[in-house]
Amino acid sequence: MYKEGYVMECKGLSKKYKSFFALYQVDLKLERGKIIGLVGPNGSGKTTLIKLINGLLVPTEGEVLINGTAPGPETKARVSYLPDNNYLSNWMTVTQMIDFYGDFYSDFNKEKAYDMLASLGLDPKQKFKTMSKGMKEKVQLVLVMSRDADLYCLDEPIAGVDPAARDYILRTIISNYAEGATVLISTHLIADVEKILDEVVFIRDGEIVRHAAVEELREQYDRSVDALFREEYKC
Amino acid sequence: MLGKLLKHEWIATIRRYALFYLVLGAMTLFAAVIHALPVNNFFFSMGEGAVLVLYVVTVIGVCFCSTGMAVVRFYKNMVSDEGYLTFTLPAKVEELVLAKFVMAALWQVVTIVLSIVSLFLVFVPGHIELKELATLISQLTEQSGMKISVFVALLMFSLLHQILLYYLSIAVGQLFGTYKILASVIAYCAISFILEIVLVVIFVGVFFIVGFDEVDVFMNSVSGMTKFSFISMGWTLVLGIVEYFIVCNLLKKKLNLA
Repeated sequence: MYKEGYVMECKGLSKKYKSFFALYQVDLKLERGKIIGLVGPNGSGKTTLIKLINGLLVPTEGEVLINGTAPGPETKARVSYLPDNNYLSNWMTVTQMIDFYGDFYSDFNKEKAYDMLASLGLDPKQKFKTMSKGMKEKVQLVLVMSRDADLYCLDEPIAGVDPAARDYILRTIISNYAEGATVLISTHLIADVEKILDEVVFIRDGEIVRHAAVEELREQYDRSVDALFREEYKC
Repeated sequence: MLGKLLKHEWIATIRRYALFYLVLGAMTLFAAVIHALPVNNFFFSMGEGAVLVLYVVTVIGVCFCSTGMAVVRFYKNMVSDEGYLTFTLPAKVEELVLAKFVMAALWQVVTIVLSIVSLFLVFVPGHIELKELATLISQLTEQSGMKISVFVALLMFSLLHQILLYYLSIAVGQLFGTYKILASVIAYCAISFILEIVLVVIFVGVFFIVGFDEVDVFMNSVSGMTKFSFISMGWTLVLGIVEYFIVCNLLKKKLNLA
């Protein structure tokens, strides 16, 4: 298995919709074993970048490589993706979805999934159509974090969650991702996420404006990443 | 991977189709029993007529629902929110589409077969002798110039092609963001219209090249109609393959999950 080099590389990556660039000339390299925040305001290109990494969009220019390979079945087997909306089939039970994941992903750990569900107080026999939005989001997170992936892409994992549950979700993320894997968290709620980040990538209007270690930024600017973000993106 | 996709397509669709077939089975039994009762009275006849109408509506409804399920399943699982899971599975787009098509085709065939069996069970036993039925079929073959087996094969090809046409319409429609469903309906109408025009052009071309009289003689013979049916099936097959690859290409390069 390819474990050397960067887990994800973008080279001159652009995505254009008609005359609008959602992403423009993005050069980005993500190292292994880091928790990286992808931060920016709404419409800055975070979700576009994550969709390109996951093969849900095709670049207009440039390339994105995961473990040195362009997105396809091989990379999807190594990337665990949590979108910012509900993708679960309402007719399924949690157990059926766990079986589904187990069938398609060889790195999926059913035991881990059931343990996480138990700690969240979720009933595996419950159907998704009887669950609240928050419960579904937790199940989705459990499914994604139960994989032994090289790269976890979490798109706004705490956006729709109450403040009390946010800390729990962040603890679930840092205690369940595979050793040596990279977690890319896209969010605009930096204050909540900052404490678990190793690096942060600032994105604005489709361009990367900053990529640095969180500690370095705090020392250099003598303020939190959240405060820096508010200054950078002041309206 | 295709095997796993087919397995999960089966799991996802069996419960709905089982329900359709349960309804069809129950209605078949009810209609067959009522139709077989040797009661000869005006009010019973009215009631029997109503039951048979309801039965025929049920058969037509099950056929429509079968096709509708294939369309809804493709739409929901490929281009709406469930698409986020479908398209991040470690499978090629060609496999994803093929799995959907194979299962939809299987259900269409099962629905047609069960509908034919159902109609036979309600209208034949006790009402039409098998010899009479064989004679009727033979007369139909002579008049139409087409064997029943060829007709059924042509019908199947046409129905399976329709599934791919629906998929193509949905793949085109999903390019249009929030108006996916409306755009899919418009795409279906537009593509169907274009295909009809192409067919008309081909037919007119054949008439002019071969001659009207020759074509008339050809189409009025059983062997001629059989050959024409095979040509139609060939055309439908080629069309279906082209549509399949266009669907895969659109979903690979222009997927637009909102």
